[in-house]
Amino acid sequence: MLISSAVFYIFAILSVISAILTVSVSSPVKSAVSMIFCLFCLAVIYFTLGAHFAGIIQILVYAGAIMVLFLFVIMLLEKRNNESFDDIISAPKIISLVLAVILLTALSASLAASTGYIGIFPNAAESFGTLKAVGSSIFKKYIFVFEALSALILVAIAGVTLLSAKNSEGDNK
Amino acid sequence: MIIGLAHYLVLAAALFIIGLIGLTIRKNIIVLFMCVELMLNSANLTILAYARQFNDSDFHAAALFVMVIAAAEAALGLALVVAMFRYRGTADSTKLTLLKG
Repeated sequence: MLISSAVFYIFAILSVISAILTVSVSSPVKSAVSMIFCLFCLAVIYFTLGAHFAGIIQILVYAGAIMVLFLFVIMLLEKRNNESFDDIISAPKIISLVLAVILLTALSASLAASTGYIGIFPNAAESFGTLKAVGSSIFKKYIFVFEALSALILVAIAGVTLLSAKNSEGDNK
Repeated sequence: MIIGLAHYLVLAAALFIIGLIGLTIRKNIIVLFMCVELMLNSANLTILAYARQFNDSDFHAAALFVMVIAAAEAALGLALVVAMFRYRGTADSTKLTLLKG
């Protein structure tokens, strides 16, 4: 119990720090790398929740595929145009920061006020989070959602192909 | 030192707020997409924490579906960024003023 709570605290703090670095570092490449680190920390936190399959998919798909795609696009586009933080002190930004802090306070306060779920987790069932349970949930109970999502992926592939194709003659605005 | 649901929910709220702050203060569209991914991850963390609370593996399927949608969104969004960069030569969200009056 002590080890698992230590693991949770260490990786929670690391993920929050790397998330703050993601939004505050001016170079997009460094931002993407700290985002990858944050995703790894979140995968460890998923493991502490017993969600092993989701954690592995997090590492494979998020950190492995999506963030590499981000890095490729950054390398493709960047011509050393780091954002300057000269105009960071502007009224709308300060207002949004204050509103965000208020939202965080409200979320935490409502959580502290609710007494229902505070405390230790109940004992996990024997089959909780195993590949067999998750797979039967996806492919038996939610098979229609699964098929709809595969259609969504297909539409996304078609859209990306259309968007990134070289313009043929005639429509080169 | 006992870790319960509330710890995970506070962590998810903190990550969500960090992503929201990033969405408001950054200008680079790619970084904005990363902030959206961060917010989706915090939603996933909430789903998985409630899965542990309610002892239900169906929540894990929901989290995986969220990841699929995030992948599709990232692919389409990055293709849009590349197309915009091709036409406009910039990835700055404040330079997109076509619809500005």
